Amino acid sequence: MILAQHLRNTSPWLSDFGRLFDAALRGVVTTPADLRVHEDDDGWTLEVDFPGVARDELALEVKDNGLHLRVKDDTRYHLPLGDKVDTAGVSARFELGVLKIRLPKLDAQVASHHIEIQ
Amino acid sequence: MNEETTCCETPDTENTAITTRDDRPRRLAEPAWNATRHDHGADIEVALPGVRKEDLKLEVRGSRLALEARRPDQAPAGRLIHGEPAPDGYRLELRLGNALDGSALSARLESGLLKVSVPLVKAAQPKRIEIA
Repeated sequence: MILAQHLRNTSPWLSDFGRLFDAALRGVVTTPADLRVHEDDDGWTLEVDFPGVARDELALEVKDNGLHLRVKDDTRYHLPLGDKVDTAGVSARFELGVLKIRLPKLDAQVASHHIEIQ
Repeated sequence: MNEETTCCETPDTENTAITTRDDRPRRLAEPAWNATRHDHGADIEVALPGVRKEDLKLEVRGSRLALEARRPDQAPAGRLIHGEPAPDGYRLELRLGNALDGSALSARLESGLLKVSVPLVKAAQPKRIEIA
């Protein structure tokens, strides 16, 4: 999904994902049609179904603050991550033909945050 | 005195029931599938992502192939902010042509894809004719 420049680094854009998607950016989306995104207090979970695909046919990479997925060497998906994602903590699992990608929120975004009182 | 017991009746059990997610109606989607015919029968592929062998029921009744699969509730934590929720499972019914022997089919589920192989009935199998 290509995000307009003025919207980057302002709001937690992944929670505006649905709204932005509906707002006529459909034509330039480079995410899978059946992508599901869940948001909880600690991060986001992305899910895509890839039935019949072998684990080694999927290549997932975080590069230039973006998530890049290559499927069977030809199909490519791309998702910019904005500034709320802990890119170093991104993880993924593939089982039963379902790819699940975990994007943790940067510490400052986590709801329960203990504050030391000096 | 005629007292009507309108107070403090036991509330209707149906309306006060506390149910788990298992009681909500199941959304069974029709899965994507394709079939190819070849000299010895037909191969069918059915996309069943998230389905384990134990959750899949495959039945042949005459010329009908019936499939029902549950997709275990593995929805991630939090709320869905983009996309449609995955179906609770899948249901598919296919009719096999007369030349196909449904009772001799074999099936294999791997990585969310079901592959079914249905051979031809004996009478329809290619026969080599010896020329005397």
